[in-house]
Amino acid sequence: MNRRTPRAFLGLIAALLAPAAIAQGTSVLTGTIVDAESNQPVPDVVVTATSPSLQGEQNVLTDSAGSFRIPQLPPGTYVLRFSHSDYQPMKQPEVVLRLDSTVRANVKLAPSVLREEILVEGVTATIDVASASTGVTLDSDFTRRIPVSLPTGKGAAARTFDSLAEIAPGAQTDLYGTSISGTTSPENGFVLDGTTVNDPGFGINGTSLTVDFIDEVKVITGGYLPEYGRATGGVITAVTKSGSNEFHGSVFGNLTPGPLVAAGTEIRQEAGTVSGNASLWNVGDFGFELGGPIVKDRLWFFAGVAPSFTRYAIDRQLNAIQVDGAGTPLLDEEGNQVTAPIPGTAQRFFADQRMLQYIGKLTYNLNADHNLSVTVNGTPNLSGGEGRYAISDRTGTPEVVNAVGQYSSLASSRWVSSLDVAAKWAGSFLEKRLLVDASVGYHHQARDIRASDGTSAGETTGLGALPQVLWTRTEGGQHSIVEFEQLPDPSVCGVSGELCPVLNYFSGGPGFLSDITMDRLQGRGVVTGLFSLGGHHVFKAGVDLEQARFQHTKAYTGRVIYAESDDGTYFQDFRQFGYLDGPDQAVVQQSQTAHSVGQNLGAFLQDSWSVADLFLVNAGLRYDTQILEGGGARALILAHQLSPRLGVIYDPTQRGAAKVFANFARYFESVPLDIVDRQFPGERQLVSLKDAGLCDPRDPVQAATVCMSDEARLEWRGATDANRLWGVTGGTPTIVDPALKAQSSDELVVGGETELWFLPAARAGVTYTHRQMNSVIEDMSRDDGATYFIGNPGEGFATDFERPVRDYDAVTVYLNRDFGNSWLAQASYTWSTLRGNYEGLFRADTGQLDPNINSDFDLPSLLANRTGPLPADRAHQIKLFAAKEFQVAPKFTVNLGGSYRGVSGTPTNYLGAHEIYGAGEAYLLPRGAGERLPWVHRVDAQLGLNYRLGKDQVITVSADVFNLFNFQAVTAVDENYTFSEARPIDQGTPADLGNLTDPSGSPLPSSAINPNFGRATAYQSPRSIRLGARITF
Amino acid sequence: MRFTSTFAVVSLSLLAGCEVAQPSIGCPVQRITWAARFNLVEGQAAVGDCTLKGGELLGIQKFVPASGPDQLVIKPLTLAALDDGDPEAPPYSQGTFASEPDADDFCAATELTVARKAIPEEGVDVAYQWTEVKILSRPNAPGSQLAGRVNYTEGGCTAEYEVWAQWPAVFCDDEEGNPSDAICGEEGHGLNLEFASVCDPTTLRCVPAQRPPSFR
Repeated sequence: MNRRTPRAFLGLIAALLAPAAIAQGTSVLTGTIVDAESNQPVPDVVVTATSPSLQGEQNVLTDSAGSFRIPQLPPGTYVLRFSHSDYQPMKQPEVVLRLDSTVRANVKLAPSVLREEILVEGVTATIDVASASTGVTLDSDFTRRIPVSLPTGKGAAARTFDSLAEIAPGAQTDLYGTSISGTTSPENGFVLDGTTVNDPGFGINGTSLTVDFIDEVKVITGGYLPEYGRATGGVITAVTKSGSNEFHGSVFGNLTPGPLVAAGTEIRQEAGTVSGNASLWNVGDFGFELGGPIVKDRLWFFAGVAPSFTRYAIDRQLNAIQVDGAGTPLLDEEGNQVTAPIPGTAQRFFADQRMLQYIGKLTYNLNADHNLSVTVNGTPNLSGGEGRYAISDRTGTPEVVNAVGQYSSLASSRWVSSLDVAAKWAGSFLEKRLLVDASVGYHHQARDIRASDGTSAGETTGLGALPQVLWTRTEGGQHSIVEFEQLPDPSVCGVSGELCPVLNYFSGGPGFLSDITMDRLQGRGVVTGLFSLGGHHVFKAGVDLEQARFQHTKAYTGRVIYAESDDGTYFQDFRQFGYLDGPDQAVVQQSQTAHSVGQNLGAFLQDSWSVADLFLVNAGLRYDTQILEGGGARALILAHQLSPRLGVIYDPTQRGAAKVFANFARYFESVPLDIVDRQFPGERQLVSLKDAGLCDPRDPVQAATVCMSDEARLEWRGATDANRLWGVTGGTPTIVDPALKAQSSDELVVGGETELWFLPAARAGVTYTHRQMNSVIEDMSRDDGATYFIGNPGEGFATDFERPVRDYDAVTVYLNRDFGNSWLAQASYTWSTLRGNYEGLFRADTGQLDPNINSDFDLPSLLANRTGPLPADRAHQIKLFAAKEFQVAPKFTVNLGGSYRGVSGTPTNYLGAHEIYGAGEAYLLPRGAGERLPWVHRVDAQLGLNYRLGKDQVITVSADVFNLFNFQAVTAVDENYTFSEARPIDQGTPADLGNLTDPSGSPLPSSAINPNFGRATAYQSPRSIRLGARITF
Repeated sequence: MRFTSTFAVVSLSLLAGCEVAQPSIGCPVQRITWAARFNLVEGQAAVGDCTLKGGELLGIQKFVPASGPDQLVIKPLTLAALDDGDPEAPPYSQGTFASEPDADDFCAATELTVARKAIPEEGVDVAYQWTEVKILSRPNAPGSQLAGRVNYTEGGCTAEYEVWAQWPAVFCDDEEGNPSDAICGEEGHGLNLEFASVCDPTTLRCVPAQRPPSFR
């Protein structure tokens, strides 16, 4: 059976057949072709791949082993055709290829002259046979049929691509994004069209692009190859949509109206004089996307625009303490003071955010082997200002719920934007045996937090000239609201206002303003070579360079924030930029500007070695060096990071229908620039105390004149201080441990995946993941916070600090069935444990987002009892997603989609105040000693009505219902056992709490125990309904 | 291909020219109160009170002015106590401070002014003239050990001391109020335990056991 056609001839045919064989993606189709009669491999078969998402078609020839491989494909649904002069032609339709995956299509060809009747078959698998990674790939079939992107929280209005990450098994939403494999969201890598779009300063996602502009999102939760680096969490990689040879697009709109949001559970707590509540008013978006040819098979375009908006109502009410006839405050059954709303003091504010999303993309087919694409996208948004409050761009929640202060002091206006430009070139040489992918990308972010009147950081006009004042007097009676606000009838507050006390009330300007611009320029080049040596090799070598810049202007309005003393006799400069030229020679600064630069140099080598389609070994090594500079001088260097990666995949079927795999990987963190911005050089601040008898900062004139003069300043410095009036904080150069190691973690993943004989196009699997931290970078202080150094806790010269630990173990079982025959389904169950004393790059309890300089490891005394179940520890997670489309009439279909998420509760703690760091920072009992929170269940549903107008024209009207049954599980409780300073009880239990002492060893009085301890402070988001309409063409 | 190899060349050349050590920590000075031990330089006869100095607390601070060299200021507690009687004269010495350490990891302070407080009606006249002041700058002792000489005048008597000081000024009296060297080696009071410290009996504070660098 050796009937070979001359190779040159077939090559010519292939060339003629392929006027536009091009390379546009990172996915691969591979397979082996055998003679159906002899089971011998067939060389020189012309394999042709076509797809609507592919410009032109792709052709390759099988090699002497009958193998073929078509690389650089975009995700999509393909038709494979096989032709050879000696065999009957064969066609394999409906080959679904996901983003960044390798799928095997093994085919048996029947000879032209059949000697006997034989079964001719072609089998295309759905399993990614080249990868030992875990995670999930989501396309628009999924995102349009399943309710995704909860209408509250980060990225809610825009329905951003990164919000899909929580769908992956074992992933869960955290404050700033999605926690993957027990890590924190800033540890993830975010890649859009091959360009890193992490926020250069803080690590979170920096480009909030809507899923409507995205073709596919791949969420890699573990086991990723060396080509992915600089992330210790997961990798969320998305490709934007491209045009095609036909014009396609959609016009869409979504609205979640506030009146359709169910009432949430009221949080019971003692009402103060000022009470407040934030409720969703509406959130929505609308827009269009359109793609098509400019020149058929040569030049395609894709473009889209989508404005979105979010509005919350912030209701504010003033209340007065109720007294009996004798003037004694009335108490309710729980011992709380009874208050009553003061008539005529109800106010409604709005918190607003408006965002525009845009994208433009060109895909150009240079010739048969070279392809170029350029994408520009941006997400400018504006929030707050002019009588409104802002919505945090990082968390998606209003900046204020309970407005204890004047609007001018609490509100901001936020100008936040991102811009990405990505250019990619993919080329192939030597009959696709040598591939080159190169890309350059530019990521830009601006984040300008201004005063509500639009004054920017450093400007001295308007609110920029007005200091913020924090009123904290407790001794001799708190201040009264009547001192700050005009009431219709002030007498309800008593003779001297004593029935309307306010504590921690803000007046004056907004205090801290910040203007950030960040840029990242990156270049990446990868060479892929295919060769045979004891099997097939796919060898990749790449380099990956980045330079990030972070410019940050910081200012306090009126140059200072005043904090009143407990006894009300003086005001302290709580925050004030400045420095001393010499003793008491103060220079107060209007603003400070920090310039931080980070360079990343990376390279990798990896080889995928396939032996007889049975084994595949992915071996690779990644190299990275990161250099950080602040203020023009080197801050720190994390040199020569070596990340070995080794994966072994065994395919017992030899046709891609099943795999068993194991993968070891070391991941290094790319340190976000916030650490440089804050510490290199540090923020130099000055402190003085002003006599309250001479300075009343309520008066803007005094605040700017006498309050800033030596006349009002008190002599307060210690005897050994050469200064009498001024103290300094911060600004000392941060010391870096010369033995500093880069932050990294190790991961082991083992698992298996198989197709199901009873359920076509479905795959089921089980994985086990273990992750643990190696070295961790944190700031530490040995002198109770006077000076800090950067090092690795437990290593180098910080061996007296506890070593950071974060151990994650998880087992996931899952079943995925891609959309086909009008239905799809995904189901997963994850059991996991997360133990240690290190949370990651932000603090869940305080929300502090200062990667690598969070407060956890600041002092050895903070570390007592910190080891235990971490905040993201959930033993059980169940996720079910399913959708089915029903044909109701010839042109009318109904889509029913739904999801169920069930997660067991997170641990809670017994917290007290730390001597230096204050409330909530001392773990009185070991971490997790509190009762676990209850399970949280959520059912979401979608009803979609589709009416087909023409071949490709569909009108869809849909309703997404989130939390259908309005479950109201408690999601957070007050963990402050006491707000007083208390000594942690080493390895204590709740039974030992009676023995709590203050730092001097005296027993803690029972009055110091927080009456609200253990009470709910948050419940599940109530039911909400998103209405959507879309015309697809 | 050429594009890719350019990247590689750029990458390699950047790495080749790249110093992988962490940056110099410069000349930090921990603030403010240091504990000093005054060692009478040998060969001086005991002629008066000025030779009886054992230990003292010093206020030490570095200033980084907008222009000009960094400044070091030393304020002995003795002079601080005379502020009321002589409010005009500064109770501190001020001089130029290095911005980078020398080969022995010391940052030198030079041209320190004489600090003098006089209350003639009480017969008080105290002066400190500092020379050879240097502060250790190492990652494990970042501006927390000082060595120097002082020409000390009290009344009409003048003596030369070698001064060893360290930061922070940690108490070392035991429960009976007696000095205890052991306390200077205990955890929990913020003193670097790698330091060789002893308890100074006059101030009851931990001071360097030897001329800095003073390590165990």
